[in-house]
Amino acid sequence: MIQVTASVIVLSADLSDSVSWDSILDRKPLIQHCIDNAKKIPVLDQIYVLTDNETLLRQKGISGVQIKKIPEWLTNHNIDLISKDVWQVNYGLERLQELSVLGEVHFFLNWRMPLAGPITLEKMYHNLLEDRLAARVTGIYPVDPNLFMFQNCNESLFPVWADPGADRQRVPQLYRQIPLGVIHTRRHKGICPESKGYVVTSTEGLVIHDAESLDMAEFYLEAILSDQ
Amino acid sequence: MAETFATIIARGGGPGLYKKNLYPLLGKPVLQHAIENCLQAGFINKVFVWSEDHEVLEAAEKAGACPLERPKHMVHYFNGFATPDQWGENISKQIMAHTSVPDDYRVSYNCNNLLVRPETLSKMYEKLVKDPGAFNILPVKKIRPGLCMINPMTSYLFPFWNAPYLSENTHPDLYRLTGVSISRMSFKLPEWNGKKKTLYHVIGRDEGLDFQTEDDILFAEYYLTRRTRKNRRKLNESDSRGSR
Repeated sequence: MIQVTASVIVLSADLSDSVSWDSILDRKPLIQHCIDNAKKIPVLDQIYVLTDNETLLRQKGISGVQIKKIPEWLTNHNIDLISKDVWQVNYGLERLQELSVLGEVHFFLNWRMPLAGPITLEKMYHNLLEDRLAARVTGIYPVDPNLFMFQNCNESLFPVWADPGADRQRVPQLYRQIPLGVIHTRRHKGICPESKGYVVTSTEGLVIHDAESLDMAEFYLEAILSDQ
Repeated sequence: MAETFATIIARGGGPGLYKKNLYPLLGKPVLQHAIENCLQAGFINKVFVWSEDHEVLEAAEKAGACPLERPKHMVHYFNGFATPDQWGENISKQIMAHTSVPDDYRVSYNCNNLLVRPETLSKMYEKLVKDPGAFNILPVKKIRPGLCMINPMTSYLFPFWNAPYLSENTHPDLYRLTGVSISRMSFKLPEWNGKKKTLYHVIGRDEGLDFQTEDDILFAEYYLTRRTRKNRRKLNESDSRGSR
């Protein structure tokens, strides 16, 4: 029997006046959207909120989750489970282990991503466990090709991911990783852990980092709810 | 006063979103948004729409543009029947048949980039006019680092333009070209021997959309709605100032 856990990390240093864990989206705080989506994942056993924010620590309204205090020394070190750097991710997993929140399979959720739905999260989980080698599945969404950098020598563009001779549908696809996914903790501590991508829509992949993206999320949510 | 025309190449059917150029966004076809952006820029005298689809040509005329017939062998880039240069010749010949004066500047506006504003076109035009050595100007959108591809050998993720030891501010910049340009037509005259120089104008996230699939619809509608809200607020503010 495997234990499947999830964590949402909220650090005071990441909060701002324009966007915080309690910023309201469709009459609910952002973090509540994240937790409500997670609760609907049928395989999930426990959700943890890890924070150094005193207001969040005193919250009684967020039910079905365990709110744990992040030790002060850890707030200066990044628990980054999306990093390309394997050591960085394993460091994060060890810290989560010390806080007793790490299951055999662990979802790392993001309070800034309220539109990432439970079905998508569950599919990431199945993708992970149906693959024999993958240590991690993260959400990815397609980005447009025809990318260039500026050359300082002649101030003109240099093709980095572009082929003027190809239809854009024939240019190999590039993606952007979103800061959300699921990890197989034992496999990730092995040699050369592989990261797999699960394609999501740009709506689900929306990360709220300022007032404009919060406004956009409100707009998207209204459109999604009116379609239902 | 320089004569400036805009050309919009708009196909009917395509491999992606069906009749994308006629897809209604906030009640108006994508093509109409593109035509209106050109007409509202203030320096464009006439907008021409080149299409093989009669529905598209009708919509173009309704929106205030001049329709030009596009031969069906000039619809696909790589079908082997005609080159993009031949496309350009066909467009120019048809434009000359409609006007008595050749244009000094030509705006090429791709419907997919319907979020590029009239004000941006205007700023680009001013930059180009101020630099007599420049052949054309293109808008570019800055792209955040941290991309990846799916490694075809392993099917796992492979990092691209992604140095984990660099922050977003110190990471080398990447840009995406959009399908809008303003060109100086005199550079195309055979007797011109000058070196072609290109200028670039950086645009924001709210203008850089390349409308391709259903996934882009909400994004486009959000920014179009925001602009309508901003314009309404400006109108209300000037109304209230007037009434005082």
